[in-house]
Amino acid sequence: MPELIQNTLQTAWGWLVIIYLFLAGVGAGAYLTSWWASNRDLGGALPVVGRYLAAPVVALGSLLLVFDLGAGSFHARIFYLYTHPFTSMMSLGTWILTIFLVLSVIDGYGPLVGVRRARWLGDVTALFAGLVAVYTGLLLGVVKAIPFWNSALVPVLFVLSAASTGIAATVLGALVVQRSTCGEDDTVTRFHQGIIVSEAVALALFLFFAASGPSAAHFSYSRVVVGGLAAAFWVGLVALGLVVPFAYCALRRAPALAHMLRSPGWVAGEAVLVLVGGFFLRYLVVSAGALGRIMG
Amino acid sequence: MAHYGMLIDLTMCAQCSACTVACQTLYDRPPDQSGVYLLTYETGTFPAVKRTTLPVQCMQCQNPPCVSVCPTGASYRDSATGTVQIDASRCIGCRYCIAACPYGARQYSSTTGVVTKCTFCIGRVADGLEPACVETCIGHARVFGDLDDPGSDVNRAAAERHAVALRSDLGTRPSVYYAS
Ligand code: SF4
Ligand code: SF4
Ligand code: SF4
Repeated sequence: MPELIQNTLQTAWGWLVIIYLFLAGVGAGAYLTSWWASNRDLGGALPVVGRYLAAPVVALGSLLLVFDLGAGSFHARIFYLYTHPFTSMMSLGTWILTIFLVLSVIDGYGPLVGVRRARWLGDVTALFAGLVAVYTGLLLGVVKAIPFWNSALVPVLFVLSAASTGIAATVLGALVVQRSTCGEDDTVTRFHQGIIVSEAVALALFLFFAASGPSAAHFSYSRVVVGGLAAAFWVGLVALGLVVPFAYCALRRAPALAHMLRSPGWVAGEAVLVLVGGFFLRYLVVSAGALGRIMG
Repeated sequence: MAHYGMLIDLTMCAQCSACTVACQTLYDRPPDQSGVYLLTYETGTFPAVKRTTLPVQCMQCQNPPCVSVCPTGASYRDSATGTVQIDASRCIGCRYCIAACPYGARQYSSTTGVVTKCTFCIGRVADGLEPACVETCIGHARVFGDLDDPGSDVNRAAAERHAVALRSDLGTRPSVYYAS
């Protein structure tokens, strides 16, 4: 039972929810990456790989969440999850995830069985991919009892991170089928660089508002920036997840480094770091959440 | 129709944990779980420090965040009694309600896979009894009754003793009041 005489770390959610939020973001972002790549008429594997990745990655995340449930797991009772979409963000999210899974399976795997890929279907699926990413942030963002989570910047951060990790996952997947992915062309890296910068700005704002918010939000902020989670924050998220990928995107246009940084090893390395950073973001936000004191 | 509420008078609380034990015994709760638990905190500055105990349980909020986040409808506000209850046969153990309750009043049991909390002993109350923690309280620190009835003991005692709800700034509208 939480000692609510002081601000107290939340104990409701742990690893499985963290992994779930991360995977849902990666899957949604991968879909969006391929959708974007096909709209930009980029050649190669990028316009399709994300479409293949999306459904299995999101399904794996959802499965983990089901594992995390109590007695209801794999019990008919999990269908009650669909009953309160207008009041509960989790119920609404269940609908969004389900619709996204269905659409992304049709759009991604339909062509394998001879269904032609329709442009409108891609657009609708992309819309639901966006909703999945927003939902993963709102799931935490609507919880008033945990001031660190109760911020409009959580969905903003999670959406940007979903885009960033989705690009990374798609690039990794595309490298497997086509080693030259992202080797010559800078379209993807330029776009990715913009997202990384936006994510860093959103992160700074998020932490700034937490630091100047209610005492429980400040408590969470301190834990992340200088307390027990500081190593995960500075190394896992800031250095590996943002600074190094940003530097990579910027430096690969430098003539002296271009040749080296465009090799598949470097492209893959950057993508892996982005995924690591995205994972740390979910880990930090979820585990630093704290309930405020209930006595004045 | 009723709206049950409770007053807990901290000046009369003997800090004995009888309420916690009564609740655990009645509902067969494991030793680390109860509908009500005692928090100890210190007030004043050294050397004039006073240790006070705050019994905390579900506040039976009239605007309960645990209910609005619940995806399954397992958590609900019962309008006949004004209490918040959990239908264990609908609960999937997602623990969203635990995150949403500002009072830390809910507990997850990994053995049953569902969430529990104080029920205001609604079964006993229907039988005309008082909640177990009220009946057992040796200091008579607890007063239970219908907040909709202006003449009820709980309403009169709360008014006389200037009782307040915890964290009313959160808009949860608790039905448990504290006098100190
Ligand atoms: S105290 Fe917590 S569990 Fe009880 S009604 Fe209020 S929010 Fe729900
Ligand atoms: S744990 Fe049970 S009561 Fe709580 S929100 Fe989930 S389904 Fe509702
Ligand atoms: S009212 Fe009943 S269920 Fe609630 S704390 Fe007291 S004994 Fe436990």
